[in-house]
Amino acid sequence: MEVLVNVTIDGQQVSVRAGTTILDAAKQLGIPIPTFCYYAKLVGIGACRMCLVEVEKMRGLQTACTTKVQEGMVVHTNTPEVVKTRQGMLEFLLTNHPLDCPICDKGGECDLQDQVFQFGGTVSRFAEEKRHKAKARPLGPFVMKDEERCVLCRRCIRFLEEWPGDPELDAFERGRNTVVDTFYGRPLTSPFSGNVIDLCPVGALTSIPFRFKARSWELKRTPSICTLCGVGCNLTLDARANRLLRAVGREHPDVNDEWLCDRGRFGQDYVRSDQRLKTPLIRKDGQLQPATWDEALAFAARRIQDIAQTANPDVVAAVGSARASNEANYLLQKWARAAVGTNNVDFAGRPADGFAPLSSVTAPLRAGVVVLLGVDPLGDAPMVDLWIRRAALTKGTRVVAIGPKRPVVSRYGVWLGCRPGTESAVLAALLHLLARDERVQTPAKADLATWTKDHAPDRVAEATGVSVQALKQAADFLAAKGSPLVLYGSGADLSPVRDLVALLGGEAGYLAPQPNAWGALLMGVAPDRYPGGVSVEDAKARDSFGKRWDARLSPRKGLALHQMLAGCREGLVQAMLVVESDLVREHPAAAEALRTLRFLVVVDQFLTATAELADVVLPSAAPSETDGTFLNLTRRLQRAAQAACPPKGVRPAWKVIADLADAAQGKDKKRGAESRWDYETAAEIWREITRGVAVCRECTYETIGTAGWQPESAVEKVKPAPFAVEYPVAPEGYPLTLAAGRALFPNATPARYSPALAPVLWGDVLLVHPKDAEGRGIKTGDAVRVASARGAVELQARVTDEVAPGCVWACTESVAALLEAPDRATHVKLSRA
Amino acid sequence: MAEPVLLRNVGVPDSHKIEVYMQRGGYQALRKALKEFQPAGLVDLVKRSGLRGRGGAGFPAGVKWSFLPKGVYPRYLVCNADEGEPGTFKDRVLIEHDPHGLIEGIIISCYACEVNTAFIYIRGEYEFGARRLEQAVQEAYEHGFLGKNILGSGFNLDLIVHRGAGAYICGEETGLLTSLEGDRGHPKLKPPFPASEGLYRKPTVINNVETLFNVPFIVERGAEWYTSMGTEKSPGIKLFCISGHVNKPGVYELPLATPLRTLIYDYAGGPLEGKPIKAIIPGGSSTPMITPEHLDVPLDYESLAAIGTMLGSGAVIVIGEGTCIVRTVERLAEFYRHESCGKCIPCREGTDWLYKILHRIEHGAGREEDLPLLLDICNNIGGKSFCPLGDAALGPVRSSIAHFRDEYLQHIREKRCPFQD
Amino acid sequence: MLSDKAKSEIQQLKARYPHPNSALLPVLALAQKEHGWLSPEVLEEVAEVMGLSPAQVGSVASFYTMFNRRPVGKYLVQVCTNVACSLLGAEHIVEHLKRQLGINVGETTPDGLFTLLEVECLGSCGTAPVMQVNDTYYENLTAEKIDQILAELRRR
Ligand SMILES: Cc1cc2nc3c(=O)[nH]c(=O)nc-3n(C[C@H](O)[C@H](O)[C@H](O)COP(=O)(O)O)c2cc1C
Ligand code: SF4
Ligand code: FES
Repeated sequence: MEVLVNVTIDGQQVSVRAGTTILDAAKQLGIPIPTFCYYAKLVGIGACRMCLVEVEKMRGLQTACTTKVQEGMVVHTNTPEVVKTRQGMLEFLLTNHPLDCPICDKGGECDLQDQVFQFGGTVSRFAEEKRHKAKARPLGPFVMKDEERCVLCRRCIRFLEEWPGDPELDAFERGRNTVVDTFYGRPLTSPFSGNVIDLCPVGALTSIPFRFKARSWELKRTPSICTLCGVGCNLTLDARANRLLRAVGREHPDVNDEWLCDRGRFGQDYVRSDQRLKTPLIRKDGQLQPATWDEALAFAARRIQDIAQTANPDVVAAVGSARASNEANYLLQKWARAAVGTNNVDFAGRPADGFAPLSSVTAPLRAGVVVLLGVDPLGDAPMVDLWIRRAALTKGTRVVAIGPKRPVVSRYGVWLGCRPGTESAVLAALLHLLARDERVQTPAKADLATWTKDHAPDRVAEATGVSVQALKQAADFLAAKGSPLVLYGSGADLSPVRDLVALLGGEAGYLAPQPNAWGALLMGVAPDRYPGGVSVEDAKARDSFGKRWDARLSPRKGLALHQMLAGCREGLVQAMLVVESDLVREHPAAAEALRTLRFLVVVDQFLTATAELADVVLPSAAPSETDGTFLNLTRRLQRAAQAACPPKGVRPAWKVIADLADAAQGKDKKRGAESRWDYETAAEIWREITRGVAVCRECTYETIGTAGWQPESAVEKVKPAPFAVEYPVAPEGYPLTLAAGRALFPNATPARYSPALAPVLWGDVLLVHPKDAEGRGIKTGDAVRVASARGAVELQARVTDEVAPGCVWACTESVAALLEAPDRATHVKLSRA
Repeated sequence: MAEPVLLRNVGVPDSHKIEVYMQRGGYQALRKALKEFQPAGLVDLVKRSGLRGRGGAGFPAGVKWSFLPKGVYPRYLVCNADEGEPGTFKDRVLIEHDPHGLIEGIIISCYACEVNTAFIYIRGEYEFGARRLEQAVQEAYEHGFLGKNILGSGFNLDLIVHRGAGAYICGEETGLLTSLEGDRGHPKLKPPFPASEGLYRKPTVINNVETLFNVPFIVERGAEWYTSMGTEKSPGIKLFCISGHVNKPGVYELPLATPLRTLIYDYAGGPLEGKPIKAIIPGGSSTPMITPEHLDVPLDYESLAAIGTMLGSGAVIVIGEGTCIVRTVERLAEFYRHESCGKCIPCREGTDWLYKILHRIEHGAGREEDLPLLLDICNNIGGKSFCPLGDAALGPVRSSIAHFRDEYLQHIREKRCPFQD
Repeated sequence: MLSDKAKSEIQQLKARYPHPNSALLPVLALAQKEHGWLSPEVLEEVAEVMGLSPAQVGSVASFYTMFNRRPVGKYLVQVCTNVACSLLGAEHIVEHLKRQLGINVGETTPDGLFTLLEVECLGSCGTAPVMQVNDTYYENLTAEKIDQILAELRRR
């Protein structure tokens, strides 16, 4: 039962929950109390004294930010004493604050400026010389520090301690000489460092990429989301004169609270890269050359039509994207199905059958143990990483990481470093221990004890190289804490995961690394499913969509992406439309396959490695330059809103697809509503989608709004089942296993084009364990050659124990050509180049 | 002069050694406490004795102990041996000459408060004292006064001597706790008070060295003996540190309510070189200074409060004629700005500003409006800073302007310090 | 950098407290004893053994005046100039030391023997003026006494 207490503030009565502070109670009444050190999301310290108020029957003034209300309390926030106190505090602050507001980036959104205006006195009585401290000094690539402006509110320090658990900033010296700094001025390395810029109430910490770009009052502010990973953090995009200039966190308790990772905060500027495509390109005499839209569209439409007509529509394929909006993906599959007549539609990163979305971005807060199965959330979904850290710091949540690379968050638990392919063996050993642990009491226990009897920790340890001790520690965390949250990536084998959940409860979810994997799937960018997930073999559905789109739809399942690529070489696929997907960099063997096509059209913002192979390249707008909806890794539907204009002559992907269809069809205005391609806005497409996709039926752009919308999803009951445990053997001559994944600052499209991220991009780096480096004479910085049965690439070695012995690790974009399947490891050999 | 109590072992050869201490009756009070008292009974005894904290604030020790929440363990006791208030050096004398007296006081107090781990937080500069204490603690363990099952009573106690490293703010009880937790000595928010959430967020008793040192005597001689000295509200005996312009500076033990004049003339040998007294800081550097007209004030908590100052830590600093008050206050302001931890705005910025103005006046660049400004800055710090250090900085400024306004004005008008030749 | 002996003492110190973080001040003192001052490298090493971040350790070290974050002479001469000492001529003591050592406050003699500092109250006001040289207090100072002390220290 909630206890309510009654308080009177400035004569107004309010009932609030017991434990509420005076500040929050006043807020409910709309009574402003100025603050500096207070920040709702950080532990209160009551240090700045700005919020002092009078409370009847209490001696002296009280800090509103830390004093809890009590029944019958009478508070005054506007007495002469309180007013004088505020003036006094502001005067104190200004005694040593530089008067450089005109050139301060915080101008216009500075708490100090605002409060001096609202609560300050009028004259300055300070006649002494001001203290001097260090002016603009960079703290790493993103954050600029000006010590003179700092009011020592400690928000920055507290944030790094309390949220990411990266205590890199602290106060040095004491008293008047106190400064906030890193250890001897070292660069700030926390992946979440940019948040301190938003938190700083003054201009002491400012954004290096944004510095001097605009005054805050000139900015047009658009609530939107980040599309640089699968989380879809809520943010505000600030633009001036239609140029996107910065991103700041926007509150959403179920997604990112109000924080952003540095990729999301600073990476949005890829839209301003000078490598942006600004006009369509057509290959002429072997070279891609600028062309007009009409020319390019007509040419592309005609060639595709020709190829489809000479052979059959199924030699045409369409590749959508987990990076593109629902609207673009919907139109893409509609183009393939209705305009071309094929079900050959798919996209890279489609969640496999049986994969489940994460229940919530904040799920780590409810977990006893977070089990990372071959994923590193810092690269795959940085905000999930932040929630894991937060859970570890505030709830004592533990982390059990299984896989080839050690995630940072494993500092809150244990890392079971093993080769890809042996994860199920490691899980089997954990299940073996848990099924024999008296703390575990579930019906599944007996079965699992039997099924795992051959996978005792010592045997698994011997086969995988994971120590028995580490296995026992992991099992101990699981047994002691229970309710695991298992996060897995695209290559995962789910059977042992199901058993773990059956044994301990908790949940498991796919850490979709791209912003719209679930959306593209829901939109029917799949060879066997229509929008909404109905099978293409379902005659009723085919009929219904056929009617809507006024087309005869193919009853045959189409080719999946890997089949399309294989089909290219065999001539089964001859023409392809690829929308916002850099297949060459992200998909094994894509380059060779695409080269054999008769005709390739690529729609993207940049001349990606994929676009370089195209016959026609059509430039598209970025998510921040158009409207669109995305389904994040929890299948939360959110809107990315247009914050700036695309470069002149650049069209949103949905528009490009529609124009391509129109170019083939001619402007036949007599056709039925949904068979026409003359969409003017993304919202129109969305309305069409809601008519065909049951789960979205209730949603309009307005109802999705700035908060997003999440459909109820039924929790699947898991039944334990025996599973096969593999102990992969390295083939002759390929002693190491190459694992690929994502880095926080990946050289993937589009992050690789961001000017702000350029200095920190991961690059073509290969992690090598010291044991494996030693025998080969490899040192950090050496150029090395990694070769699989498919090919070889040259990379730069970094020798580190962050990777398990026997494994090497690189970003997918660097080694896609060597892999067997995306996110599937492969056997390699390694030598100095 | 009465037989010394607190200082009875000072000056006795090898008084810091356990043998000598025991020969002179040491650890008898502990035996008595363990045998004859239940913890609650001891708390009650100390309450009845009226013993008040000797660290400065004068809060009744027994009452503080009774605030410990029932049934919450572990609890800790921290002996505050940070002694940083300028003018104060009494704890050092006790520690160096009678470490076992303190240890015995701590053991009994821990038994009373049901504490099994105690700390002595000693200021880092007291290297000699810390070594003596460590040695004495070692001896006490060897004799079974510390450790498991003390004297067969079933009571266990570990005592850790912990050295500070140079920060006055660590004398403030919550700053001390953060420091003892291994952090910068930033004061903590109150509430919660240390008694309910202190060290490691567990119930914690913090008492000054002298406070704890009194406890064995109260156990031995009874509460009535204690209340027979001093006044009703300020019972017992107190150590006074006297320094500055007197002939025999040092630590003296007197019943509370002894007149200031007695201390200065009968004990400290009167003013140095017979120079007239100009001002007296009665209770440590933060206490407002008084003028010789108050020489007969009884040295107890209430009487000093009545004349607008404080007994504080009992550190009397005598300032003779010929001393520049502005210079003295400037130096104290410098001390407080140096020792401000920097956590809160009024103390961090205010103490800096006060010093800058005082420095300017002392160096001949004062303005008449500086005096009201100084007082107004004091008002903007007073009662508004995070911890009482901010208030402590104001005592000298306010009191000196009240009593020596003319001297300030002389500095301002003559644009120089009249005491500088 | 830290000796094995120091490292084992650090482990003991950590074990001495209900919470190992409490050992930070003693550990810093120990590290300073071994190295004379707390260099960034030493602070990092302390951070490592304490399981804290370098920033946290550096922040703590910079709070306390007794931790030297710059090299100091073999003898650290600290003169109290707070009020009681000042009343009895601490300024003259400082002037005398400056002359005798040929350095200003805050400086170290070229031979690396002496560093001169002014400090706050040392808790020895009854025997003012006072200075502390390394761990030892010298009380009731006069110019002559100082000359003797310096001569003695130079001889050692
Ligand atoms: C700035 C400041 C400095 C203090 N310094 C000391 C000190 O050095 N020694 C001490 O015992 N108490 C000191 N105190 C008082 C302590 O906060 C606390 O009241 C005392 O240790 C409680 O013990 P007692 O009740 O036995 O006096 C100081 C208080 C303040 C505000
Ligand atoms: S840098 Fe900014 S956020 Fe950090 S303490 Fe200073 S004012 Fe506060
Ligand atoms: S906001 Fe309350 S003290 Fe800073």
